[in-house]
Amino acid sequence: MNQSDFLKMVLPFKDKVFRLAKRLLVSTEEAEDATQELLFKLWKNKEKLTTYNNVEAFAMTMTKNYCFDRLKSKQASNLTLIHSNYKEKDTPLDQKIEERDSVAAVYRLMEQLPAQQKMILQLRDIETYSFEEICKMLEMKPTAVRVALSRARKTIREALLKQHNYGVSEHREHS
Amino acid sequence: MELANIENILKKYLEGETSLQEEAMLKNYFQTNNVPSHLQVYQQLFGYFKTAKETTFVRPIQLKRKRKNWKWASMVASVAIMCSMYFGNSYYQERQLQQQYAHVKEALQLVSVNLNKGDEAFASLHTYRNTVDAILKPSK
Repeated sequence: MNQSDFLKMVLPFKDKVFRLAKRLLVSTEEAEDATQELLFKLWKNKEKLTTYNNVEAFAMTMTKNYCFDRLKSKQASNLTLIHSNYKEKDTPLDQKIEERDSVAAVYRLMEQLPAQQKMILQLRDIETYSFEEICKMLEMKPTAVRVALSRARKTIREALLKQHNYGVSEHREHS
Repeated sequence: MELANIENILKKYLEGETSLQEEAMLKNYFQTNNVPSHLQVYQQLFGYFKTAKETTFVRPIQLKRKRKNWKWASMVASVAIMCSMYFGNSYYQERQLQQQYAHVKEALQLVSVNLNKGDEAFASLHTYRNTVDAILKPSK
């Protein structure tokens, strides 16, 4: 496999890899590093790749594992500031109301989900993978995927409803 | 699509039981503007999913390792530290010796100054003796 063949092969899923990495690592730069690292690893094992029937699923699994390792080592060295907690405290009230209808609110809520639910929601609702593919990527059973997906969707819907009602009652008080 | 149907699919959606086609239908439906207010959270939700898919990896792909090799760097650094410790230590000892030499020299100088003082005293003793001799043995 030469370089252009390889690039042709990874082109359809490199963005998906990047988005999954960004979902887990939050920082764009770290997600870019992770994607770069993954592509490099794939390139190094390019001879083996031709024997896999689903390189994309394999790449997503590798991305997940790599990001988990990164998160673990960050936790171990105690460098993590839990970014979402800070955001939550700092967000002024008017901005909260402004965000009520915006898509950014969904992003924040997704950030607060457990890692597994985050990934499943990402893979299903954003990347639109089939259950079969998600099971393969995350090495999970179909029922477990469904349960986690349902939980994630419900959690986000409820939080959004809460924000809506909060915003509505705020508006009433002011008028 | 009629509302009842949408609400039905949404129920299934929350249970994680919708197919990809049904989910695509929902996404399409919530892109339209006339969504009843009780379903507006879904518009927000599906709107986010759509925008989230627009993020792309923009960095140029590098297939050759350009990253710094930290293993090598750490080895070089540790060798450098060991060398500097070795040379630093010998330099320190040299300085220590120089200082000791200076101290000893100073002490000896002090001794010699005082000795010279003693010598001067002896010199005056000498003149004293000459005079005494001159007085005691005047005639010859």
